[in-house]
Order: sequence, then structure tokens, then C-alpha cells
Amino acid sequence: MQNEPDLRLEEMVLNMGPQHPSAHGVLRLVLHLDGEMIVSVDPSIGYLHRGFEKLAENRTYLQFFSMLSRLDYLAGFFMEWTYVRCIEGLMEIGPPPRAEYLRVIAGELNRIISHHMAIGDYLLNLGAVTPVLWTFRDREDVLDLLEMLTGQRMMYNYARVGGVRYDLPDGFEEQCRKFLRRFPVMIDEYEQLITGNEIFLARSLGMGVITAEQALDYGLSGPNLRASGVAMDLRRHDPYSAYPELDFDIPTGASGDSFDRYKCRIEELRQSVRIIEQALDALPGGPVNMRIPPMLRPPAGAIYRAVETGRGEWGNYLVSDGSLRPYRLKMRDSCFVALSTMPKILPGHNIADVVGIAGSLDLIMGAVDR
Amino acid sequence: MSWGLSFVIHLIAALVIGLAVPALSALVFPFAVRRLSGFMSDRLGPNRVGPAGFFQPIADFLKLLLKEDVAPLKADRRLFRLAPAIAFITPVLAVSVIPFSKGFTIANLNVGLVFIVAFSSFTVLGILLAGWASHNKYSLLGGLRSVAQMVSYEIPMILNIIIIAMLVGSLSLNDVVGAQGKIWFIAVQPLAFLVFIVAGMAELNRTPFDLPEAESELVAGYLTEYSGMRFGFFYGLVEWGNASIWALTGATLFLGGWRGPFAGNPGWLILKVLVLAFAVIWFFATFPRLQVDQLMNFAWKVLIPLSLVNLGVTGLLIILLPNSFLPPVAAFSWASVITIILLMGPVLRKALLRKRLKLNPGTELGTSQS
Amino acid sequence: MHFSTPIFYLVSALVIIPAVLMVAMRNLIYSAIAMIACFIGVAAVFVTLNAELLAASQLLIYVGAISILILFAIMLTRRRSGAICLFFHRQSWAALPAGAALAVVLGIVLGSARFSAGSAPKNPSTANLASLLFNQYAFPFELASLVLLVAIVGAVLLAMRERRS
Repeated sequence: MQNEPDLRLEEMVLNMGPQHPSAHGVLRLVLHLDGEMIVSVDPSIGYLHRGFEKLAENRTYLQFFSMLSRLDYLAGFFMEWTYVRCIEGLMEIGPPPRAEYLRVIAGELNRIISHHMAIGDYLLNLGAVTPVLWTFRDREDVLDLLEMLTGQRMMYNYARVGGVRYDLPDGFEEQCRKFLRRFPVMIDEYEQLITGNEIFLARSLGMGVITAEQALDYGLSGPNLRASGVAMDLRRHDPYSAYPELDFDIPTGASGDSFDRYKCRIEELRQSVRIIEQALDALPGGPVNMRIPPMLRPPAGAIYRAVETGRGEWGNYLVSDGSLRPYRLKMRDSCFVALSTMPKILPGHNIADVVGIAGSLDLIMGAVDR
Repeated sequence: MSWGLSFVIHLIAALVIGLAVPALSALVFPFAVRRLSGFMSDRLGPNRVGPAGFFQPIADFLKLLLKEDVAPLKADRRLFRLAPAIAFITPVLAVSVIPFSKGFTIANLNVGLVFIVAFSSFTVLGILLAGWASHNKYSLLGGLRSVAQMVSYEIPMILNIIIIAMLVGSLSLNDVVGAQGKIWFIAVQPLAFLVFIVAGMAELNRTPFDLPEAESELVAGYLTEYSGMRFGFFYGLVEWGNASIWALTGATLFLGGWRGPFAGNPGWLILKVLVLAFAVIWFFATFPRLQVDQLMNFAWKVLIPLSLVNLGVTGLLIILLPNSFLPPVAAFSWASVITIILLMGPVLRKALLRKRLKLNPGTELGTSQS
Repeated sequence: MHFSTPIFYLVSALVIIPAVLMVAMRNLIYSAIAMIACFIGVAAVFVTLNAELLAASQLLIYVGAISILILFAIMLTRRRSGAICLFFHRQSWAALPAGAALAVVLGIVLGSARFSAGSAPKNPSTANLASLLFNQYAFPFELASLVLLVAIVGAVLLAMRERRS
């Protein structure tokens, strides 16, 4: 190497993660660098693998419940929701309407905290310290609401086959409405701080562009897909729960760069506020749960159900052989897809953009590794 | 008094004040940063140790002193230990040419301005050696980045110091303060002041130019392998010592130094230093960080041409109107500042959008709703 | 003995010892650091001669720019392992006549110069220096800047060609 006549700098291999301040948990990226420019990226995953799919096969349907919110630990209710939808689909039962609305409320609150983390963490990756603290301030309010509703701040265990665990507690509605009144002002505040900032624009416009074709080829979903201009949202296109009765827009971007992904999430925060308001207004009476047999044995069969989470499509493929335990549970995760686009979109960017683009893709390793 | 005796007295005075200024700034500034940026990001900041948390930095220093001083196995131990000391030379020596009040300058050099700039090279050297000696890729990258950045931004810094020197007609800092009896130079040369602030942020590795220690990318840059008091040396004494040198220089060059209403005394100088330090903290709480190529482009394509034009026009006006050059210089400088402030945002945005359009034709800023 | 005499010896030691170390050190980085120490010593010599502007320029240009550049180059090109043996290098046979020639030139210059101890002006004015530089020596000054400009253009050209290939 030392006597190489060529003056060209040798390629440098930088192992970013799994222990790295912005590794989003334990993401490991092996970067090949030419100077500070990325030549190729090799994401290496599996550091948070806990064998969920196998564990599901060794537990009864209900025993597996408490593990679900540990997958995407920032918005755990979506996992529970998908799983109960699968079981309900196999059993061909539907929860009472009040339970559907409560699920929507819990889900949209989860979407808000998920986007809070996404936006705050993205900006933290870009080196701004204040946005993450602001989003955490408001996230705390949502967590309080979720704690009132479910008894837990993160690991909710709220969904039940055939309904939800608790009805609305006293005072939840007032506190929720108070939050919904205040929150749009806070979103405007984020936008004042972040969206117009020239440095932020310089760091996000045209960075990590995923075109609509690429996004569809890879199978992206959620805000990452909508930022590329594809207005696909399972809440609209595969309507489930109470969503058909609720009115909301699907924000889309145009160019599929980091800025659009950020902007889509900001707009979705506003839409979530709208949805929760409508859900609270239209909340029907009645029970929130139904009697189901304590030893749950869904009839044999296979089913796929997906839910639009804050990060995209979370799908479960559940195969039942009619016994107490799932025969097979396959989980489909959108972060894994988003992660797999990185080798395609990162080359040509700067090292600094690795964390920026990773932040804008909103990866969560708990869901990727399972 | 013989030459030798006065030499010894000056040496002692220089050492005492030179050590006191970085030490005091290492106590005051971290506290101010935490509390003020805490206030800006809507949280408390440390408030437990002493009144309003004022003794927190002391507690931190005690902790750092008690921590084990670890050097990586493969590090070059001698250089690893030497580097913080070399970097510390800058703040210690540079204080000695600052006029603290009428007739109170440790070393009243007639080329004080050049010395301040010259001393800053020691920090560059220390950082470079720290990055190399740590035997860590992040450290090396951080060190190289930091040096490239400091060397680049030293040029606009020096150009703007030259502008002030031309207005005064002397390189002595005492003359600079003396010339600001009627009007501070911030009113005469706001353009130079702005460039001085921006270049200073970059020289000090402060947000939005804090790339060398970009936590989200390079872990902690050249500081990665440092621990205990050597880390404290770099982080506290060197960085904040340099920050106060920068603020002292800025206050002397643009804000009238120790001059103020009633009687000119060091109190005014300290007040102005605190005002400038507040700006540093404000930037820290507001901005994301630039990217390394944007950083270099900004220095070489924006700041240096701007400073050169400013230098040329100011020099021309001084030659053309040797007796009354201050009003036209002020008029030119104010006009350019206002133009820049009005045009910068739109021009930058347009350039960024054009870049994005080139990447992905047919896209516009913003989101559409379906 | 005047008080400044020991200081003169101190400063001279600060120049000479690092200079020797620089040649003798086996590690290239250490050599560079010794060289920087030597530059600082030269700046100190200027200070004792009351030439503060020269001292500051010495620090600014040699410590702040040139040695940083050299360190940069060493760090980017060399592996840290493998101390490089500088004594008895293969090139030493060529270095001998070159060194001898340099010694002869320096000897002639030193022999022909007239040193007048203690004649350093108390406060050489920066303005005097400037007027000398920009009037009497304007041509060499501009020539030097031209050389630097050519060097910059050449460096950019090399970098560009490398990128294209």
C-alpha cells in the first residue's frame, strides 16, 4: 500500500454503529468512504433480534400480547391492533363500535408520539438540539393521555380480542380536548423553528431522494412513500376500524427527499389532531369489550391484516391450526424496507447525511430486527 | 525598572490573568449554556448544585478530576497527553494583548491584532494532534475536519480584522479602543461584525459549525477518546477559553472595548463579552448544523469574497476621503448588510429548489393534499 | 552581564535543540512537532529583537499554516505504525553534498554579514515595514505572490484531474 504509485486516496471503511450516538438503537452501517463521500453502504442488522416470530409460536394467543408493544417500542399500540385484527378476522368477530373508536384514538395518539420522535430525532441528527426537546415536551402530554387511557406510557397492552381493555377514564376527554386545542399551536411552533430555517433547508432539500418508482419498487409505505408523491394510506385504501367514518387528508410530498418526509410527518400530526377530534365527537356509547372464550382457539386458516402505523404498513400474517398457539406469525415491517433503500440512496452523499437521511427515514430497530 | 524585572512582572501577570480568564469562562459559560439553552428549549437545565445550579460546573470539574485518565492502548501516549496542553496555549496567551481598561493591558503590543490571530494556531495544532494521537477514525476525521474548518474561516476573520485595522490606522488594540471614543465600529462596519460573528462561530466549532464534534456523526470528533480532566481541558478550558477570547476580541474591535457610560472599566468589557456569549448560546439552541462541503463553500464562496469586497471598498474610501471616511464606509456597510439580509433567504431557497428540480424534475416545494 | 543575555541563550536553545531533534527523530510526526517548536523559537528570537510583527507573522504563517499543512499531509498519507528511519536512509549519500553546499552558502552569507549587537531599534514601526515592503521591495513581493498563485492553480489542477479520472 505504501508504495502505491497512484495518488488516489484509499477507500476508508467506517463502521458506524451499533454503538453510535445516532444509530437509532443498534443500527450498524458499514460505510465505504472516499474522503467524506459515501461510495457504498452495507447496513448490518440483527443486533436487536429477539426472535419474536418464533416466540409467538410457543405462547398462547393471549400470552403473546404483552410482547407486541416491544416491537416498535415507540408506538406499540399499532402492533397490538394488527394482532387483534388478525385474530378477530380469523374468528370472524368485530368489536363493538365504541371499541373501534377507542382504538382509533389510541392509534392516533401513538402516531403523534411516533412522529414526535421522528421529527425530534431527525433534527437532533442534523445537530439541532432544541426541536427534540420541544417535541419531547409535547410527547410527554400525549404519554400522560395514553397513561390515563391504558395505564401505561409505552407498553400499553390495551387492545383486546373483541375490544379494548378499558373504557375512557374520567377526565380523559377534557384533558384530551385541551391537548388538541393546544397542539396545533405547538406544531406551528415547530414549523417556525425548523421549516423555514435555511440551514435545515440546505440539509434536507434534495437529500436522499427516493423517486415514486423506487419507493414502489422497494415497497416503502407510510410517510416515506407519501413523501415520494404516492398518496397511499391504508386508513384510506384498506379501510379498517372506524376510519371510513372519519374525515382526513393524506399529505403527500412531491420529490421524495428528506424535506418532504419531514413535511409529511408535520402534516400528519395535524391530520391526527383532526381525526382524534372527530373520534371524540362521534364516540358512540355501548360496551368496549365482548365476551370471548378465555382459552382462545381461532379456527384454522391464514390471514393477513395490516395497519397504517406512524412508520408505514405494519402487517401480520397469522396462520392458525386451530390450536391454542399460532402456527406461524410473520410480521411485515416498513422500517426494514426503508432501511433496505439506504444502499441505493446514500452513495454520493456526505457522511453527515447518513445520519440525516437515516433520521428522515424514521427507522426503529426494535421493529426491523424483531 | 530594569528590562528584566518588568519582563518577570509581565510574565507573572500574563500567567495569572491568562489562566484566570479561561478558568472563569469554563465556570461561567457552561452554566450559562445549560441554563439559557434549557430556557430556550423549554426545560430547566441543571438547578440543583448551589444557587440556581451555579456550582454545577464546579461539581463537573471535580468529577472530571476524579475520573480515571484513560488513553487508548494504541494511542500515541505522549502526543495524546501533550495535545490538550498545546491547545490551551491559545487562550492563555491571547488574553495578554487585550486592553481591559485605560492603560491596563498586560502586553501593550503595537501589533496586538496580529498576535491574537497568530495565537489561535495553537488550538488548531492541539486539535490536529489530539485527533491523530487518539488512533481512532472518528477522532482523526474530527480533527482533520476541524482543522480544515478553522484554517478556512481564519481567512475571513483576518480580512475583517484588517478592515478594522484600516479604519483605526493601527494594529494596536489600545488604539482600536481609543478610536471608538465617538462611535463604536459596529455602527461603522456592521458587515465586518456579521462576518466576524459567523467566522468566529466556525473558529470556535460552535453551532451551526460544530462539525468537528458533530455528535450525531462523528461521536465526539477529536474528543472521542478523551476522558477525565483531559477532556475537561479540551471541552472546558480550551473551547470556552477560546470563546471568551473571541468575545473579548469582538467586544474590543466592534463594541468599544472597555468603553461605556460613566467610566470606562473592565466591567463594561465583561458585559459585552456576556452579550456576545449569549449570541453563541442562542445560535446553539436554534440552528441545525451545516454539512462539511456546505461549510467550506460558505467560507470560500460567500464569506471570503464578501470580506474582500468590503475590504476593497473600505480601503478605497479611506484613500479617497482620508479625513471623513467613516460616514461613507458606514453607509456602504449598512447598505450591504440590509441587502444581504433581505436577499439571502430567497436566493438560497431558490438555489436549493433549483438543485432539487434538477434531481427530480417537476417538483415544487410544499405538500399537496389528496 | 545584561539580564537579556540568559534570555538570549534560552531562546537560542529553543531554536537549536528542536532543530536537531527534528532531524534526529525517527517518527515523522515527532519531527514535525520539533519543527514547530523550532518555529516558535524563531518567533521568540524576533520578540527579543523587538520585531513583534515579524514574531506574530512567524507564528501565524509557519505555526498556523505551514506546519499544519505538513502535519495534515503526514497524517493523510502515512500509516501511523512503522516509525520511519531517517538516519542512514538510502538517500543519505545525496544529502551529503547537498548539505555541504548549503553549509558553504550559509558560511559565506554569515561571514560576509556585519552584526552590530544591540542595534535593534526600540520600536520598529509597522508603517515603516509596510512602506519598505510595498515600495522598495514591491517587485519581489508581487513575484512571491505570483509564485504562490501558480502553486495554487497547480494544486487545483491536480485535484481536478484526479477527480475526473
